[in-house]
Amino acid sequence: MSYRKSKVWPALFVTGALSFTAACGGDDGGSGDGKVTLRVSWWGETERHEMTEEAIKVFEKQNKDITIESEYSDWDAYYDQLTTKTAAGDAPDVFAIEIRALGEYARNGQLADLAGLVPTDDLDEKLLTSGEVDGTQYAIPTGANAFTVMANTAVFEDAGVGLPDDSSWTWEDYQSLSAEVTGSGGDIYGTQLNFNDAYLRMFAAQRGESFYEGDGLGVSAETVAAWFQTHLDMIDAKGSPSADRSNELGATDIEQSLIATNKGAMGMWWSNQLSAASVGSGEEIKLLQIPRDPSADSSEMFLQPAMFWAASSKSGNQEAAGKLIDFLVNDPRAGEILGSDRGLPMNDTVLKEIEGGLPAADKASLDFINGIRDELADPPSAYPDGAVEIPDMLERYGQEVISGQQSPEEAAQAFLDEADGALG
Amino acid sequence: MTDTQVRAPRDVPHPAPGPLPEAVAHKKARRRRRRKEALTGYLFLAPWFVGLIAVTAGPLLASLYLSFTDYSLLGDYEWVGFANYAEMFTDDPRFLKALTNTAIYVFVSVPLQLAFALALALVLDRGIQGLPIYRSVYYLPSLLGSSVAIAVLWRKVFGADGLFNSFLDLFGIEGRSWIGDPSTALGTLIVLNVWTFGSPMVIFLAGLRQIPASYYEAASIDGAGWVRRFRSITLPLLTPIIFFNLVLQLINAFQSFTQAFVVSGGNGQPADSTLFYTMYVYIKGFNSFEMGYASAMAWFLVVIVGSLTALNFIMSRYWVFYGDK
Repeated sequence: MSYRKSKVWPALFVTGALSFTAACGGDDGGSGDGKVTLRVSWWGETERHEMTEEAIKVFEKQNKDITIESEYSDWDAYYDQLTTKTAAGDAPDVFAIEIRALGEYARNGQLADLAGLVPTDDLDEKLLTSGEVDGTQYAIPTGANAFTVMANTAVFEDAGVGLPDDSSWTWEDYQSLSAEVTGSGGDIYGTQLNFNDAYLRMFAAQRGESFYEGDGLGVSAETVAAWFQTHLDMIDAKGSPSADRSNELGATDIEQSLIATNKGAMGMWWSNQLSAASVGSGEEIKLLQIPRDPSADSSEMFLQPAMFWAASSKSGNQEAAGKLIDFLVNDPRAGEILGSDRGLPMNDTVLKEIEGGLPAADKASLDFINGIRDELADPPSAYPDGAVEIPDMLERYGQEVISGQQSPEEAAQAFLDEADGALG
Repeated sequence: MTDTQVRAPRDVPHPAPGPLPEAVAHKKARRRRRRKEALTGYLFLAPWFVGLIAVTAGPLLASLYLSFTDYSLLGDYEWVGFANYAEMFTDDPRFLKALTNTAIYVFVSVPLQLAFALALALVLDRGIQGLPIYRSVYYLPSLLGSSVAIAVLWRKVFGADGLFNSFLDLFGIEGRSWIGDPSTALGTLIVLNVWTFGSPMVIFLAGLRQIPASYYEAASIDGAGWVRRFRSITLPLLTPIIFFNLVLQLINAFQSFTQAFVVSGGNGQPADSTLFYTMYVYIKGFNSFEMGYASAMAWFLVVIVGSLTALNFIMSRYWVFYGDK
C-alpha cells in the first residue's frame, strides 16, 4: 500500500515547484525615491547595441537621478515586441520607430507630444517635419538617409566598364550599363533588382506623381506598371540575375547582397548601409545618384530620417524621456559615439564637431549628401495608416511580375486596389 | 495510446449472493484506493491545469471575443459582428491563397511522410544490427525539423548556389533557385516536412513490435508471401497506429510556421507561394495591426482542424481495425 502513497508526494512536489517558479517571475520594476527609471527600446545589430549602451552611460553620468533600462532586439522581432508591450499598456518610455509605423502609433494616441520636451532649434527643419503627424511633433528623427545606387568599384574595374556619370544618367543607361557588366564574362552581374518603395517613390516623382497623397496613393497605374516593366527588362537584358535568383536575393540583407559579396557591380540601398557594404566586400563602394527619367529635371532624391526617437504617451516620466532624446540628437558627445549609425546627424553643430572623426564610409556618405543637397526633394511626411504593409505588398507583386505570374499592368492595378484597401 | 478509452476495472463477480461483511470491507478499501488513485491523477494533471486556467484560457477566450471586433493592438476597438469572418471569404485573396498553400502542404506532405515512415519502420523491424543507432539517427530530423537552424539550412540547400544544385550538376542538370521560384518554393517545404518522418516512424516501429510473430508463422506455413503477409496481417493490425499518426501529423502540419517563416523571410516570399495559414495570422496581427481579423482567422483554423479531426474519427470506423473488437 505504501508505494501508492509515494505517488501522491511527487505530484504535489511538482505542482508546488512549478507554481513557485511561476510566482518568482513577478514584476521587479518601479522606481525608488526621487530617482527615475527610463525604459528605452531600439532595434539593431550588436554594433549598434554597444554604441547606444555607451552613449547611455554618458547620459546616466550627467543625470545621476535617471537610470536607464535598455530593451533592444533585432529588427525582425522589434515591432512584435513593441506592439505587444504597447497593447498591454507596458510600452517603453522611449523607443525607436520608423516612418511607416509612426502615423499608426501617433494617431492611436500612443506617442507623447515632444514639442516642449526636446529642444529642436539646431535640427534640420525640413527633416524635422517628417516627425510630425497632423501638425504635432510626435517624433524626432535620429538622422538622415538617402536611397542611392551603390557601385562596387572593383567589380566595375574587373568588368572593364567605366563608372557612369551619375549626374545625368537615365534608366536606360542604368540597364545597358548593367547588361554590359554581366556580359563582360566572369561570374558577375550588373545589378541586383530592388522593389523598395523609396525607389518607386523617386521613379514616380520623376514623372511628376507623388507616391502618397493624403490618405491614399497618388501614383498612377501606368507609372507602377512602367516601374515593374523596368525590372522585367533588366532581367531580359541580363543586367541582373534571373527571376528565381533575384527572388532569393531579395529576401536577404545587405551583407549577402551582390555588391557586398563582390558578385555584382550595383545595387540600391540606403546611404547608412554603405559601411556594411564596404566591410562586407572589402572593396571601395561608391554612392551614386539614382538614374532619372529623360524628361525629369532632377533625380528627385530625398533625405529620409533613418528612424525616429519617440516617447510613450503613457509614460509617467516624459520629462526625463525628453532629456534622453535631447541628449541623443543634440549632444556632441552622443554624436561622437553614435556616428552615422542611425543616419547622418541632423544637428549641424553635432555634425561639424564629429566630422573629422567620422569613419571613411560615413565621411563618404556625408560628402555625397552634401554634394547633392541643393537638388534634394523635400523629405516625406508621416505616412498614412496602413503604410507598413506597402513595402511587402510591392515586393510581392514585383515577384509575381518577374516570375511571369502577372503582367506589369495587371500587377500594377492589383497593387493599387490592394493598397487602397489597406491605407487610410 | 491509440485506444483512447482506458477501461475502468469491472467489479469481479462475487462468489456469494449476499454481501458478506468482509466483502463490504473489501469494497470500501477498494473505493478508497480508487479515490486515492484519482487524486494522484488529478495532482499530476494539476500543473498543466493551473497553466491552462492561469495562462492559456484567458487569452483564448479573449481572442474569441476579439475576433468579433476591429481590435488593432494599438487603439480602441468596436464590435463588428461577423464582419471579420465574412471578409476572409469575400474580400481577401491572400487569405484564400494562404488556405490553398496550407492545404496543399498538408495533404501532400503528410501522406508522403507517413508512407516514408512506415516503409523505414518495416525495414528497421527486420532486426537489423545496430537498430537503436539507426532509430536515433532517423529520429533526429523530427527533433530538429521545426527549428530555425534547419530552416536556414534549407535555404542554403535549395538556394541557387546550394547543395541540391551541386548534386544535380553531377548529372549535367542545370538547377535554379528552388526557394526563389514561386512554383517550387512550397515543394521544398513539403520535402522538409517529409524529412521529419522520424517521430511517426518510431511509433510505427513500436506498433510493429506488438504484432504477434505467431500470425506470420502461421501465414508462412499456409504459403503466404511477403506481400500477402503485409497486406493481410501487418497493415490491418497496424491501422490503429496509422490512424493515430495521421491525426497527429495532420494537426501538426496545419500549424507549421517556423519553416515557412524562415525560408520565406517572414512574408511568404516568393510571390506568396509559401504563405502558410499561421504565418498569415501572424502577419495580419503584428505587421498590419489587425489583431481582430487575425483572431478570427485563428478561430477559423480551430474549426478547420477540429472538423478534419472529427471527420477522421468518423471515417476511422470504416478502416481502423482494433484487434480486441
